[in-house]
Amino acid sequence: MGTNTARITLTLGRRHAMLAAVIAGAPVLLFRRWLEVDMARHMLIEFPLLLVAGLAMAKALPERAVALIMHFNQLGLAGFTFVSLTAAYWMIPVALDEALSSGPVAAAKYASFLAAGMLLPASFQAAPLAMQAFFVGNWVWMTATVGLLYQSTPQQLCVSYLVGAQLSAGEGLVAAAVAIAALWCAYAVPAYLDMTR
Amino acid sequence: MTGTPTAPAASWPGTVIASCAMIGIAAAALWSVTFGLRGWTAEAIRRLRVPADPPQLQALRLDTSTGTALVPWGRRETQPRIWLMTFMYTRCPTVCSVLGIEFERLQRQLTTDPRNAGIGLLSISFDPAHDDVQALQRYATAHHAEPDRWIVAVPDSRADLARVERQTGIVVIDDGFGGFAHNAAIHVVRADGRLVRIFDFNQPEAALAWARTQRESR
Repeated sequence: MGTNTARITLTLGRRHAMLAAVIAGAPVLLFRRWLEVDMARHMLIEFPLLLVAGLAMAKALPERAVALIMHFNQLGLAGFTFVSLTAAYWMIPVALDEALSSGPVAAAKYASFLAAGMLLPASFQAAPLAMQAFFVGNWVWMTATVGLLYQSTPQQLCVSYLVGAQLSAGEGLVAAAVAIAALWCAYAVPAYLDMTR
Repeated sequence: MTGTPTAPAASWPGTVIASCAMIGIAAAALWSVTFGLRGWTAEAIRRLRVPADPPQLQALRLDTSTGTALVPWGRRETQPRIWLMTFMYTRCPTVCSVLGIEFERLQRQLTTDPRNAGIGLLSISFDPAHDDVQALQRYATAHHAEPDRWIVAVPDSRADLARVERQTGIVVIDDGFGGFAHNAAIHVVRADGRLVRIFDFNQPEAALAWARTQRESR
């Protein structure tokens, strides 16, 4: 009986996860043009939506697939590496431009953010606080630096985006960096205190 | 998501190999998109890529401010010229008028210095919705363009415009105030339609000097 109940909750969990993936992914499909015509919306709404969709998709993965991925993700190292590389790459102005002008590059962008989202929860679970601190900290300073650079560059960095949009994208990136740093600390400090108690 | 007791043990070699493979792929993608780490913006890379591998522009049909048709390169019947080409729209209040003033100055040099024979100026509008022959004429008159030195024109079809934009890497976007933002530069195009160099719009002298070397080498 026990296994039966477990399976039912798992199925329900998967269904909810798929629903969440659709809810996060649908706006990207439906409002792609609106999202991508503005630099801040592109980076600060579309990218996170793709991450969330990937996150939800991971919940729907069969357990064996998760086990296989985690076999190559000791302490979350590979997962965090992938997420960091994805985040860094799509902050390069020319990469952002190419994602707008080339279909294959756009596909690579969607795929990499979905995959990053899929890897994120399992990597966090596998990673000790020190590993998390390294990758979260790294992402925070990188994102904040890029955000400040976007704001301080007088010339247009992307041929597809105006200087004004670049400015708001830069402000948004700094805000996102601060918010993620605060969120992670809010989680990590109590966790650390729990551990040392 | 949590590891069940039956899950296989995580492997360090597998993890390290996977991580290194990801870094390798990302490095290759970075190398490719930044043209060997030489530029971080599409405009910088466009200007680096053109001299390394000059694109062949397809024949372009233009309607000029004098009401005539012109195919500026790749046709035998047109007088072969090296072109200093820019893209603009006549209502542009900012960078295009700077370009216009720079071209006016270049035109004087073309007229007075015989070393500049065979070099022509070409201003192409990317705004066919507003820039008809009358609008082009007003722009040409305002900047004292002489039709045999400086041609102000608009592509005669949207398809020709889109093609030349794609081949040169020009991106025109709405500036939110009824105008456009666009990459402003001086393009040196040989008579055979090869785009050989791109100069910043504030380097007209360098563009002219380069155009002279291109003509001499032919």
